[in-house]
Amino acid sequence: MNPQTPPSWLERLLLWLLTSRDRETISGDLLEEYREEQLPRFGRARANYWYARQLISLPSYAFGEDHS
Amino acid sequence: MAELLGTFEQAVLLAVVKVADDAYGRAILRGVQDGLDRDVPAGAVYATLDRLENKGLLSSRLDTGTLVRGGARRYYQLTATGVSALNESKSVFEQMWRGAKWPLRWQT
Repeated sequence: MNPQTPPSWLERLLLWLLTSRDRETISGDLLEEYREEQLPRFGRARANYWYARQLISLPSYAFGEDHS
Repeated sequence: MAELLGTFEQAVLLAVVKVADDAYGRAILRGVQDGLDRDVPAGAVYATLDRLENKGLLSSRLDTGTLVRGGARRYYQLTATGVSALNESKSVFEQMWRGAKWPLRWQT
């Protein structure tokens, strides 16, 4: 387990939710925020919780308007 | 008349304006949170960015990633239509409030 990354199952779920257009960019944005802000500022547990909350917010985007 | 924007759409567009050359997803998300002074879910911002781009108010381009994140970033900028819509929305809100004293007070 890489301490600088969210739990792998959350990352896999995120990649599954995103379309090919957004997979690299949105996952990169969230990973950047996780590593540079959430993890150093709040610690691993709260950073993981933050990541999970962002992931939960994505289905409204992923299954909304067609953005393929 | 240019399109009238919702509050959150304005917040996203203004974050793109303020962040300027660094207007990629993460920076825009933080800009929206700063502008609204509250936590905002990433999905709401990405959905709005997508909708605004589909409406022609934003354009985007892919750029290279960094060592920290690895993958590419998507940068956004306002189109001429987006600038017009944002200006129109501000003008309309100011016109709506004209004649009303702010802050409003409840009266019996």
